[in-house]
Amino acid sequence: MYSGGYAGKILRINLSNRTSTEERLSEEMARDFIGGAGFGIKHLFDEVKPGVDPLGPGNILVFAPGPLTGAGVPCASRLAVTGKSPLTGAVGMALSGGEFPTEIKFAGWDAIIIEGKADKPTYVAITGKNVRFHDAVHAWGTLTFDCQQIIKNELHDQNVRVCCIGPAGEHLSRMACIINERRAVGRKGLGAVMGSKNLKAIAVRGTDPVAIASEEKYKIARAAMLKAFKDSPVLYPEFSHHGTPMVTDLTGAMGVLPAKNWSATGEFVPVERIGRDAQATRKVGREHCHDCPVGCSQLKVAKTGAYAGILSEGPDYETVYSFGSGVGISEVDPIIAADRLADELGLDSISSGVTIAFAMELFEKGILTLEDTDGIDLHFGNDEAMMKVLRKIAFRDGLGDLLADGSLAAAKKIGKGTEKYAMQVKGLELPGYDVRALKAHGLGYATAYTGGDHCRSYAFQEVFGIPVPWQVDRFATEGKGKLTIWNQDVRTSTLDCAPMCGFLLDMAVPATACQNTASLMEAVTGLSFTPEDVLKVGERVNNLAKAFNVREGFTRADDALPERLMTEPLTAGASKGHVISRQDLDKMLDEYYSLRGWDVKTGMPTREKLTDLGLTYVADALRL
Amino acid sequence: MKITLHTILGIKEVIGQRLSEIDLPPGSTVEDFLTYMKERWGDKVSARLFDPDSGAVLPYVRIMVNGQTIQLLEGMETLLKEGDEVLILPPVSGG
Repeated sequence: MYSGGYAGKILRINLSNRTSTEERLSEEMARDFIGGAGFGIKHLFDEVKPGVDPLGPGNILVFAPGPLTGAGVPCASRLAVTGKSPLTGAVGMALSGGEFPTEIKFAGWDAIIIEGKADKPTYVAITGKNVRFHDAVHAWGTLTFDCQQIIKNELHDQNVRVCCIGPAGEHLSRMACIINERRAVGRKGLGAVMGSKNLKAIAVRGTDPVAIASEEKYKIARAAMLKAFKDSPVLYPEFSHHGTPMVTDLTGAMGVLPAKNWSATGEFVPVERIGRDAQATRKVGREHCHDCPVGCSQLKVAKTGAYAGILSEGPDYETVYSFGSGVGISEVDPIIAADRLADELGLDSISSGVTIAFAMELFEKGILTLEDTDGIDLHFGNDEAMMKVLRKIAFRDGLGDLLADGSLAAAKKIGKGTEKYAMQVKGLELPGYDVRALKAHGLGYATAYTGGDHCRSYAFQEVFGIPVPWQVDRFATEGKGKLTIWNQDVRTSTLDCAPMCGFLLDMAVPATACQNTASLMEAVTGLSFTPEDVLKVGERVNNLAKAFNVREGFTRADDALPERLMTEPLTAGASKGHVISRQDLDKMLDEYYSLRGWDVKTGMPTREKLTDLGLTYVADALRL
Repeated sequence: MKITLHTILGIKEVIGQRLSEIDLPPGSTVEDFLTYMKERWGDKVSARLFDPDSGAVLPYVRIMVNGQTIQLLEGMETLLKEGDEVLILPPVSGG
């Protein structure tokens, strides 16, 4: 049995009848799913009925840190939130850092499960074992930063940690996120799930330390991890100072920084004006997640025009793309301001930016007119328009109502063949890597259980040239199925279930990620884990998530890419001429399914594979 | 023949600009190109590109010709031709 790391308890909160119950965490659950996304997806499959409305009371939200969270392990103050995504209809899982994840552990919980629906706006305050339901009618309608402060004041505790939704979640925008501090559980519309449950916020306060099973092993494992940090040529020398925006310079140079709704990648490359150096001119400080020595998060203040004085924690690379190159904007200050606005409104910056880019392209093509846009000039590069539309989306005002459910839903409403301009997979808008010249990254977008998601299958081999587990040709399709499985399973177990920061894998322990997690797990929890055990958890969780999606009706046909990426080769830059053809994608999918042990024709997991992973009951549920 | 040197971040800081045009004799290789860089920009560039003991390119520095990493071409023996772009990338991560 575990003797550290885990609190041993899961808190279940039913909003419909305002009750809370305590459940014991079994050793089997800990061994098979570790924590974080593993716990979330397990509960999601087991408890949410097939076909349930993601915005109905039958959906659940699982807030799960991990066994390493709060134990003093660097990069482990992470939280996975899982539910059925209202944006995709598939598994919705997203992570956040900061202080909130650790506070859940200090409060004595391995996970918090939210079910049902409150009859009026509510927030839940958790202080250790004590759970209270508070009226949130007065806080309904507030921006996220204000909401957190209101709750801290009401609870007379400035150190309570709060996650909440903004107007976007209240108005059920399927792009709504959950904000804790200035960080976001960003993607898949999980903020709308909170909104649908009339749950404005969760406040957590804890004081109990996390037990460590073996102090001796812990010191060794932690020291090995910190040595890997110091040995990295990029983590402290560059990343700690500049954060993720430096990736803009790289993707710009490689010709894979998407621009103008992916119609001008390689042509519109405003790196000099929005890349690392431009961002650095606005930096006023940096932030650390709990127990993180790196502090990659950048505090920036806009300096010019109407945006002067606006502070944001960010923008990170993805937002530099989504509110910058993606919408044809080549100035740093509007990006900082939009980043702040999206956080305050409670909107995912990637999905909202990409959806605005989609609308801008339709406007440029004359498919949307001033009549459709409430009189807003939606040409690419119009930052004032972007700010206006962000607000409209959050409040479902006019054009905002059309766009509030994401680009695919908007395309279906608009018709006229506009789906081909919606840059999404399974309804989730694409992150900032033009995969026409990063083939494994593209296969990752197509096969991630969450939809177009870079965090589930990040191909650092192609983007950063890291030759682990082997060197790859970013333009080639051969072997990319095998590579994508490796990326998905390693990331799922070490980053999503443990959970730990994604940058740990890329920069410090790419070759030893599973060993690192196994050593830390054994030291902190007392459970014996081999690297192979850790990797197996990743495979198990990916299979279970896939099974959930299959049960919801997803098939091989949904493991697709937008038509543009398969038919329009890149026209300029260092990746000119490249495209992922339908044939390329099919070839990679065949390899991927085959090596996964799934049915190549349907893309479904097989009974044999599920049984091998200890998921026979899942095969039964799917009637395999 | 004219070759474009494309650099970013720390290497760009040393060179002073993102894009530079370099004139090399026909038949030059990537190795010749790097030798030219050493001679033109001296120790500041060398410190960012080469191991001080072995003189080899640092393992985390990426060199691409027309977007393809040279390890998948002919390595340091990769022949350059008129109009090629040599991309030299320091270690980057994040995203």
